[in-house]
Amino acid sequence: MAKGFIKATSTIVIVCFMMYMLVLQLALPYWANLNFAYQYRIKYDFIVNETVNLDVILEQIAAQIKREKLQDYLIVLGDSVAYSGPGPSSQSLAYYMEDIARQRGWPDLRVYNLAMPAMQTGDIYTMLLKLERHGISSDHLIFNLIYAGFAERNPDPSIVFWLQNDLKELDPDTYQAVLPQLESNNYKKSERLQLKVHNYIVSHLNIYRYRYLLRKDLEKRYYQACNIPLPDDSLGDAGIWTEKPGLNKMLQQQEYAKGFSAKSFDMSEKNPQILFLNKIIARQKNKQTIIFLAGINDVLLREKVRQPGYMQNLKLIDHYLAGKNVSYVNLQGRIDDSRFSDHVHLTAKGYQELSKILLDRYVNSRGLDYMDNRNNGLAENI
Amino acid sequence: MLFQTPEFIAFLIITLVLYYKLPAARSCLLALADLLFYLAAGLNGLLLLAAVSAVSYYLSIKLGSRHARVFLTLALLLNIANLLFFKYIVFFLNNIVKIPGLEFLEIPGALLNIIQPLGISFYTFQLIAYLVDIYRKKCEPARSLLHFWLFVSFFANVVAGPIMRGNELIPQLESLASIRFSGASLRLGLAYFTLGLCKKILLADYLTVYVDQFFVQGSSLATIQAWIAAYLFTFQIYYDFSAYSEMAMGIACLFGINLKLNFATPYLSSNPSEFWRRWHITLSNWIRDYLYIPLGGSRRGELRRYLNLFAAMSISGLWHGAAWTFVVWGMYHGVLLILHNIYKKIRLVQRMAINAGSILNAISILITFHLVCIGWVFFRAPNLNTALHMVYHMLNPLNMTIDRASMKYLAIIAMLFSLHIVEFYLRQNYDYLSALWRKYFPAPLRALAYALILLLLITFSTYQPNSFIYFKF
Repeated sequence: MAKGFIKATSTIVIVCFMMYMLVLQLALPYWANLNFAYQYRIKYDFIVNETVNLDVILEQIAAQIKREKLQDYLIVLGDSVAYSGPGPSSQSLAYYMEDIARQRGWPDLRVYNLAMPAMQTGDIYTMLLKLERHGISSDHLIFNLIYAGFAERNPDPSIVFWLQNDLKELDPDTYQAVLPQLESNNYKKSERLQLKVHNYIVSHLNIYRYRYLLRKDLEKRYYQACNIPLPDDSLGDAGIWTEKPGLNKMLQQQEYAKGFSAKSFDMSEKNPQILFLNKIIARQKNKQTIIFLAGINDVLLREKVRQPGYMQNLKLIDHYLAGKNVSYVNLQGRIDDSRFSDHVHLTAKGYQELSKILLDRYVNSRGLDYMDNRNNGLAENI
Repeated sequence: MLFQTPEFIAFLIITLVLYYKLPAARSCLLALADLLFYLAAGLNGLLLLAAVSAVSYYLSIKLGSRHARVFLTLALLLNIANLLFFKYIVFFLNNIVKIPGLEFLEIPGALLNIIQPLGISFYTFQLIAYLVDIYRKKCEPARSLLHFWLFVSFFANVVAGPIMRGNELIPQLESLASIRFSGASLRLGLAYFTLGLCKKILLADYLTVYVDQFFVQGSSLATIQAWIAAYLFTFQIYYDFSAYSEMAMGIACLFGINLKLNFATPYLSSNPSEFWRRWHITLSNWIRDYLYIPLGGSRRGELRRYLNLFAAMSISGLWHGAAWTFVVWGMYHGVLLILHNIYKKIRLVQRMAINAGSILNAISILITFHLVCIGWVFFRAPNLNTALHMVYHMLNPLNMTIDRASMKYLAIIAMLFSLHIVEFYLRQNYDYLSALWRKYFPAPLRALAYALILLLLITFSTYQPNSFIYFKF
């Protein structure tokens, strides 16, 4: 009898446990607070170890768009420049763009900055596919390029840095086309079974998918309870470049030096950068797309950026993008060197200025008539 | 495949379900699971383990023949050579080329790239114990190669123990088909596994970050920082290794198999001898039975006894890793054991009847704990110079200044020690507390507590799961 009782209660424990797990699986996405993973930009540590987490953010953004019935929102993609490194999220593109728009009487502009440091053109293309899958529109898109992205890859950096497996799933043909380049950067085509199982579980079980958000929530509560200020989310020192004595030496390193190569660019589709840009532009047909080429600090790297080969390459990029159905901004020389934090990244003031430039271009390329109708002429003030 | 990863949990659940669904096929199923588990670490390691197991098995069969001694020697040589080659060859050669006059020798590049097979130190010791026990007729040989494979490669303990003896494990593995699903085993197994997970995820992994930070600047640490580093590592290694051992026990329990307890709250030991009876128990017993006693143990006079102790502990140190820091750590413990034996002898000769009252016992525990902490510095430091620097400063209390940051760490260390005491209490009263838990908390509430524990563990687990410290050995 005692045995039977123990068996029965054990069964109840197991059944209840399974029910609680089911409740967690279903409830976590509704409980989750997007701010813990995304605040004006993606939290870097949320993605850096498990890129499958990107889907959690996209899922939450899609839910927010639906919940708030957002019609006009702007997607930003790109690398650490669009990400607005190395400063904090409160000095980043999305923050400033929304802030400036608000000051100019356009309070409901929503900017989703989904850029990530080291994001390559292949990642940007893949992100567009992912956005579509999640039902997030890329009708208004801004993304950045850097000069180094067009340079010959020998073999690094990989043309798809973060999202190789997503590309494999979402566009197998393109994936096959760039596979040799990926493999030359240590990408393993076939994952080990163990890793496949791991990725499957962490991308399907919500207690794994939302664990970062849960942890951050608990951490925040702890900080608040103990009256401790929340940690800064900067990725590094966002001070002005002139106060960084090691910068020149760092830029002599091979990995940086080749980014200013004066060797003539291959602007055909043999260059994976062009291959993906063509694909992105084709996907964005009839949509509003702004591409900005990040400027290089031309005081810090005067010799490099004044090389004839470098200048010729810039013209090649300008020519290539001028012929496409996109709005293109070349920032070389447009932002004062006092607003750079290193050779390419900006200080808070620099990102503020960049935000103004991009917002102006965004409003202009949408056309004033449209803005007049939507916002009773407020756009004229922007 | 680390025990705390979701893929391992999935692997474990699938294996368990099949194990209890197909009782007749349990041996084959478990053998396959062991194979897959070890394969996850690499094919080469698996082939080596399979080859060493097969040869050891066939040589063990011959141990009943007239030439048993020859076959035993052959089998031991094979296993020791396997361990020496894969774990120590580079260490030995590195030391040889440092000998004056031999600097011209070059270590072949192929040797430098040798990857140490997972769990080689543990399975080698388990095999040696098996072979010697059969030779000594303390253990019956495994009935078949399949059962022998299960004994050597059981995925719960193949990587880092507990080091099991043939007569403890093989009879259980040979009667797998008769094991019946038991709620008690399930509960105990899950309790051990969860305890291990909590220790690893909530304590050891978080301590790793601080320990690494301290030891990376080990050669410049002042007195209090050196002590903090030593204390933190003392708890990191305990919570890490005991976590693994408890998870191993828990997993085995789920299959209805009993593995030996490896840790019994060792930091509550009142002397070095007791410490080794409570720390890595299966290794200590192995050292005693297959090293210390064969060297002569205490049968050949006091001096020889001390020498044997010293030698056995030094070899135990070397077993942990191919570096002089480990050897010095082993020697240090050898000296502690000798000193403790001398102390015991003096007490006996002078007929000192020191009453081990609670205050004296607490003082003894504190002294032993601090002696063990000093030893861990050698174990963890990147080199001997750093270790000596740290120990020198630790033993110079006059220089000690305690700032606010140090107070924070000392509070954490006090909390860790308190947890150790709580663990001791829980172990002592497991049955009583378990009965209370089931009596006063209804099933849905217990299930809720388990779900919350799981949620907490997953929430605070690191993205890149940290390996266990003893996986390196």
